[in-house]
Amino acid sequence: MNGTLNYLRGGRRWIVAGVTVHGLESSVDFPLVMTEPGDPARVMFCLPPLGGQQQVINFDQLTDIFGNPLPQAIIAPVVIVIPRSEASCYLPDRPYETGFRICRDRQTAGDAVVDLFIMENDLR
Amino acid sequence: MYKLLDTSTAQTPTGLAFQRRLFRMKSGQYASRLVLLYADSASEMKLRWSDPPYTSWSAGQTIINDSADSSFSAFLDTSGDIHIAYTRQNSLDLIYIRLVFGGGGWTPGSPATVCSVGSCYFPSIVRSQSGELWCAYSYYDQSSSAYSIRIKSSADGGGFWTGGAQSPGMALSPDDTAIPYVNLSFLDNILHAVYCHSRSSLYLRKQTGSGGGFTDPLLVMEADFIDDDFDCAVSPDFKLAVAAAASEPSRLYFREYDGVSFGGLQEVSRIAADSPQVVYLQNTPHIFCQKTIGGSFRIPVVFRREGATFVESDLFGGIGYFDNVLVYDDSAETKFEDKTIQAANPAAGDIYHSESNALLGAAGDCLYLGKSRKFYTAAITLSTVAAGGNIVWEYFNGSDWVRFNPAGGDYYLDQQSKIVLLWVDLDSAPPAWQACSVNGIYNYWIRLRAQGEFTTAPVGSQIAAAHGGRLIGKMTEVS
Repeated sequence: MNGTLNYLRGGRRWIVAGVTVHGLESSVDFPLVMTEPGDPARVMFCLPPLGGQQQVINFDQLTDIFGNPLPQAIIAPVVIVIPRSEASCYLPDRPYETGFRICRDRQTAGDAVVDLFIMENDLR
Repeated sequence: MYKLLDTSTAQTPTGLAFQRRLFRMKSGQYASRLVLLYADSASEMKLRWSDPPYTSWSAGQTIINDSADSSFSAFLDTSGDIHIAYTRQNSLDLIYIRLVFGGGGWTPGSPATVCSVGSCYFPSIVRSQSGELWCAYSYYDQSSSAYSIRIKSSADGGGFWTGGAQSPGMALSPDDTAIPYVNLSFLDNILHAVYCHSRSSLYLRKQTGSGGGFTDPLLVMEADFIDDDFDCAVSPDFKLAVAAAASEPSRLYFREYDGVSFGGLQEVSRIAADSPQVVYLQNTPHIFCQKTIGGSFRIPVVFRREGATFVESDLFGGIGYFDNVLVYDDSAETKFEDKTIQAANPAAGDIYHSESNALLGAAGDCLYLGKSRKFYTAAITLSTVAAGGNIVWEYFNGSDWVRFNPAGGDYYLDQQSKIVLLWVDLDSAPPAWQACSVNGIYNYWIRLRAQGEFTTAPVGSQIAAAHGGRLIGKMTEVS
């Protein structure tokens, strides 16, 4: 299937206006793995938050500019941040099916407001 | 997030401190995907992967089934392939295998023998920018009954290793009776080997050119005993950091090398630590480790460099000392007594109610364990073990105290020391568990309530929301 056909099939898109970004760049999740000894031992996955302020937005918390609530899950989502000011806001990692993390850089004083263009991308 | 992925019967499921096995893909369609390799049993290694937010993981895929029960080393390259060096069971040969990435999954290629003489253990494998593979390992020569660090390279992607499989490889360390350990890192595309010799001395040797020569050893630090408890990391501005935990006396050390000389040796802390993992986050060194707080009880902590010192903090709000430990004697005039300080230290026999002289003296007495965050363990050491009686475990659901059976099995204070697994992991604590006020203190509380009379009442020594965790492995990205 080519991209144009996929487009015509109706890949879903939303514009969400006025999202307040309070997450901080210094919010780092650093993955670790560890063993809890025992018989058997337990293999543990760890994702400790290290400082900063994490902001996670689930798609179903959002409403687009036409008043439509976004679905709970979006296949292979793409989230594009549309700035409203010179504040630098971005996604620190790839969005996932139910949401994404967003943050502003540390030079931005106070919360920042952005618009979001969210697109479903079922090309893969 | 603190999540159980699997159980394992291997000796070192998540490897030694200086070995890599958790990777994050940096770019492309699968950017941010995490891949974990671990020893599932004495002979099998498995691979699992997860995409953000990492709450669900793929089923374990067996990638190797002829491994010795010894830890392995791996790295992820820019194309998503994973390169592994491991010890083969029985022969104790050193084996290289590449897992080829395609379509979101990994397929094992053909194994190649790196070294088939002597016995090879604890490899460290890396790749240069030009694609040359390097593997260093602990080598045991049966004829001389001596250990040494050996190193080999492969210019053809792992098919042939210098000198052939019958060569033990170039010696990086002198012969010794104690097993040595080695970590390889590329600093500004120059290979650096940091190894522990005679259990207590960390040395650095770096490659002098493409011909395979190495500088004379530079002493990084000397402390009794380091063994495999060290790790290395390269900073964004090309410094090589070395963190090591020594056991006698208990010390955590840090030192940086700028490619020419070492900075001063820094004593990070005087804790007993396991598995230090050094990482540069936003160009600041962080050291993750397991802090021993008594017996086999450990708390995962992180040290972050701030100015000239390192600042310690718990890795998880739900794993650590309890914020409050209260003993409650139902028949006493002063029913609640605060034993938080006594519970935090391992001093013997100091956790009891002054009326009953016991942790729990009679039916209706309670032990309250409280923390501002939900927790998943109660690590308990007793000086006097309970006999007779009965104990129920309860949490508060917002309106009532609800009885539950600990996920790791019931515990009636009838063993001298036990880490009671309340829930499967930190993320599995019941959603219904609510914080509440006990004796005016607002916390998430677990209550142990006595039912029936004890023939011997228990007395406590240490109680913490600790676990027995070891063998931390840090995430790395591409090599």
